[in-house]
Amino acid sequence: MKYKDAVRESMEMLAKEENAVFIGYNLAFGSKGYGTLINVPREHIVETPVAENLMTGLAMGLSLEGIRPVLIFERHDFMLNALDALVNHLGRFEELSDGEYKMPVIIRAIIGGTKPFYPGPQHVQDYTNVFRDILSFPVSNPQTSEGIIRLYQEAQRSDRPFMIVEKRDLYDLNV
Amino acid sequence: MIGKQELIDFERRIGALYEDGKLPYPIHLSGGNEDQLIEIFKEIKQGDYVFSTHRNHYHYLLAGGDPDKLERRIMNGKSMYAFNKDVNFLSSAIVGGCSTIAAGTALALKRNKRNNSVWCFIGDGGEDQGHFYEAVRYVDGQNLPCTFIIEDNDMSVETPKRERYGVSSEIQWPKCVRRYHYKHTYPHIGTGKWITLDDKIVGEGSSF
Repeated sequence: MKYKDAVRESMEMLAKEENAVFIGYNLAFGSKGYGTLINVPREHIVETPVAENLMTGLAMGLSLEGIRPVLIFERHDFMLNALDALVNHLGRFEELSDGEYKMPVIIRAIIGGTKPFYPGPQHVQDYTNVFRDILSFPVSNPQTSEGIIRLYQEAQRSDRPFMIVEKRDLYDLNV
Repeated sequence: MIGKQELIDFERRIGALYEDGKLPYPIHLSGGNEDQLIEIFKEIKQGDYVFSTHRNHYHYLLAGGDPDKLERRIMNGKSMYAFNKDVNFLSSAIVGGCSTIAAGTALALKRNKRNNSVWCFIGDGGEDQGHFYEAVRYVDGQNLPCTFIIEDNDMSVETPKRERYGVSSEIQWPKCVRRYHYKHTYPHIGTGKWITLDDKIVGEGSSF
């Protein structure tokens, strides 16, 4: 199975939950999440401006009312704009509130592709290890289709934030 | 709802504990905005969400949070981090940090067709953050049930607008943003007095 098909099937699995919401840009339009959201109904998608801190805040705020957000970042490079929301807020509210507030946000953190067009240093950076250092919730980077499916199932069961790093260069490979 | 004198007395009691050296943590006390806040909280209904800041004691008490629980939190070093799920109360000590979360909760209330609102308090220092702009534009454009209240004491930490921006004029925000002005009766941090802690005389902020 292609890595991309595993991601697409995982999104379909998550979208079966009535309260699932996919947040980000280019999700209902353009590439539709690099083709991974083509089968997700429009009412499950919150198309946003390219404003990564806003996107993350929206996901956190939605989760307080029982909505299950899947927050999608097309590239690590752009995610850096959201670090205040991710590090200081999403990663800290459970501790700061003595466990009163948990925010089960699933984060798709995609490393930009290098092929067939190499887009240069602001579009292909891999900050997986940085995220592991500074985030207080799990960061997984599955390298196989089987790993993708297993980890999205695990993320769905979790009641805490959960980040899955996808590698765009693996999308078209049978791994 | 808790009254003006009870609010003032609560902060005086916390300030006294601090000055007695019983509170070895930073505290940001409220004062001078009791009348404005009491008017605003008359509009806040049961089930509404309140997002606050590092200076959150008045908001917490007016939202109906238990004063004893707040005092316990403060004594454990969590003055800046007041949370209470019973009254949908959250805060953040990162300036401007709650504004986008408030927008998200307002989006949820609209999606779930709930007849409640979100109230997000920030200072004129928080107003300086780009995150606030993102949240306001989103709430305004999507017509979400969220009101931002700028508590304007013309002070970011300890610096007025004219010094920060060269002018003291105010940005005109969309209608989801309200502003009230007040003169803060406490310093940014602490009570403005030197205190004895671990046998050392120490101070914070403008008391240095």
